[in-house]
Amino acid sequence: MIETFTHSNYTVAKLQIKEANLDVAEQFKTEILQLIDKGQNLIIVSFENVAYVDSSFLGALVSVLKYAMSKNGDIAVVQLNKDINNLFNLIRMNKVFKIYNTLPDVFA
Amino acid sequence: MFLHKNQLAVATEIVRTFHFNNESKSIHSLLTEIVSFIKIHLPSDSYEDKISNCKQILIELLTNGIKHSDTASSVITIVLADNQVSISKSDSGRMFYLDDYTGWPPLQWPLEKKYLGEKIRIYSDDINQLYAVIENDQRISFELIEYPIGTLTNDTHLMEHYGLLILRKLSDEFFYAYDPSTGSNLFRATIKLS
Repeated sequence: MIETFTHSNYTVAKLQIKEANLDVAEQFKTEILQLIDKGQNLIIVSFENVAYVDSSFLGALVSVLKYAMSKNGDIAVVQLNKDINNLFNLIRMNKVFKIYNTLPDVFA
Repeated sequence: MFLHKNQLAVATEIVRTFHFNNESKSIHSLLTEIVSFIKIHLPSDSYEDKISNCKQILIELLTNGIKHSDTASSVITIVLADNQVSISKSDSGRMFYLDDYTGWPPLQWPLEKKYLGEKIRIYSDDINQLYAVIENDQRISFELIEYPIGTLTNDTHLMEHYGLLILRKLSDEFFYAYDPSTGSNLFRATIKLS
């Protein structure tokens, strides 16, 4: 579900799904937790391919953030479309996650 | 007659129902169908944000149906009237549980009149508290209290349930009703268009 590559100390996890919903939330969580357990605890989740997000996926995202923080890591998000960005702002996830417009912004 | 650009350009009530089989694989096609229907009646670009809100409300109501209703089907009803859009999900499945009520006896539907106005906590963490407010013996609305978000630490308690919170924040009015005589559940979110 995710395609990963590393850059500096970061692991970019690019979502290979169009619908980030309850069907994929658990698998997403499992794959990110595995990365963190391997020591890749600074993760940038790219939503470039994602059309919409539901609350189940947001819950999974918060869950992996808490796990990453417990390992002195962090999760940021990048390339949110307008609707997803509005949703993050609406429920103040923009104050919980670092949000970047583009991948180069992350590494700038 | 000249209408304000954000005023719904219809004089009569427009109602349409959609059937949902409570399967996640059906969400995308149903979502597309319902949003297309709404767009037909709200064609102006000035409604773009309202339609986006309708879409997210639908996503959450359909997801709620799959996760919590414990029944094989739901009905989604869209009503465009009085310069607002209302989106309802009804089913005959599991009723909404007010789990965090700690008084005795446990709350049961229909809710006793003595509880009118009482607030029952549904979710809480360090940045949000979501309450059910008992409006009458068959209906609750939702109230959200938000706290300032400071620097997150390992000790910060964050919940992982956002469905009702999203529905509350996107709607001008959002309620749940249970009819004990028919066993039917209803969630309704209303968005004002101007």
